[in-house]
Amino acid sequence: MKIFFLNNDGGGFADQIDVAEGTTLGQLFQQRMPSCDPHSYLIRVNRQPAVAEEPLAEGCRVSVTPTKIQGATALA
Amino acid sequence: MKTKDPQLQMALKLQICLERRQAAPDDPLHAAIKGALSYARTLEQQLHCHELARQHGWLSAAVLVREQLSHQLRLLHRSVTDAVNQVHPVSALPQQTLRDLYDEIHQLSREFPEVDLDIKAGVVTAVTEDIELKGFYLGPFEIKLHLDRLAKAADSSVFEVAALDPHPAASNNEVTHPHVRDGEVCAGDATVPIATALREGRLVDAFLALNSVLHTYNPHSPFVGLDDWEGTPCADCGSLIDGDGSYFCHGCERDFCDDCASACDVCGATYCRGCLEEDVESGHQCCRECRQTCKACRRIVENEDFDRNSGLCPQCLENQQEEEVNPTAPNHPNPSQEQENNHESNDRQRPDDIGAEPINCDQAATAGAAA
Repeated sequence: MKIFFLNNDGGGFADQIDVAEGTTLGQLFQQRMPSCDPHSYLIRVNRQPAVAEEPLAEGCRVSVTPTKIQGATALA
Repeated sequence: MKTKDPQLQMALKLQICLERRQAAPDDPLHAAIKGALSYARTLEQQLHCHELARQHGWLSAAVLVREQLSHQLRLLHRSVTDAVNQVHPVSALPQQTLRDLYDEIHQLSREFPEVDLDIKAGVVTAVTEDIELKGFYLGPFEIKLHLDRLAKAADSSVFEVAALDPHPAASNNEVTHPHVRDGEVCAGDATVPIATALREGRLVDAFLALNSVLHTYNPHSPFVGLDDWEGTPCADCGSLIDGDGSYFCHGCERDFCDDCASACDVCGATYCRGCLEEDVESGHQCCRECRQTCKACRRIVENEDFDRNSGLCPQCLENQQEEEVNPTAPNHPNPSQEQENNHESNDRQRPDDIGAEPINCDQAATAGAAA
């Protein structure tokens, strides 16, 4: 099935990806961001907070935003 | 469409704004390339500094610059990735409908403690929770998105960030957060995701990314580092001083750093250099309480040597006494005689001169800071 995956870490692009039926939110996070700690991210399914065990559905919208992003001074 | 629902009204306004921007789109590729070039220029300068540090054997400086190089390289990598993505956009999200934009506004009110929609001004405001970085309380911030700016550009410049309970850096009132100056936030690593989210009408993601920047401290490139956040600027040189390193001048009643503070050689009390005058005979630096001015030669004299009855320094008193014994002697020493009598002339205006203004410590501080 296809879902929308919005990763605001790095480039922040929205992707339409294929996932297996029955895939949970936690499994998706493991697959897409294997080296990341889910506690360091705001994760939403269809704009709502969700638990790791929540199964994903066709066409759902998953967004991932890091809770810590380094700022800087203005560009030279 | 007429509605009284403010969220729907704002969604409508947002839709018009996004359509207007799409009609005259900015060129994100140019912006991304400019960003990458800017990072590359800074990287080149830092590389030069690193080479210099190594050549001179400045090991601590070399380590410091190497850390900066590493961070700058990461920023360059991100910006190049962004530029490449602009050539081959990978976003697959369909264009936001009015329903999507309404959901964005609705979600925003769930993600932040307080959200305000100013329909007339076209401003969406979200208030963050209290922000504390490395033990420094900075208070809550309000993040304002100006729709008129969004109609022209899709980057962090559409936002205005203001501290609601400001705890600015001691050295600069305009810096209310290490990465916020004068209402402008430098998004750093969030630059690309914010721009992408704004281009796609994903308001919440842009707000959340900015909120994450406000909750993070990047010690490599702040406007003012947290190490220098607190303290009082020295009234002379302007360097920041903390409570232990602060010296209170009993003359002008201001705080000075260790280097700029001094003490009266007579009473031992702390004074700044601008409030002390030297008795050239004894070589002592004297405060206002411990010095007098000879009414004849204008020399600074410490109290112990000053003759209060005559108002004269020892030399002038001696001259006066000689004059009384031998009336043919000159009445008062002229400037050349002062020097012959070892009364060193001093062209500086003395604060204790009759009718003279005391030294202006503000001017002294300004001159010191400028130096």
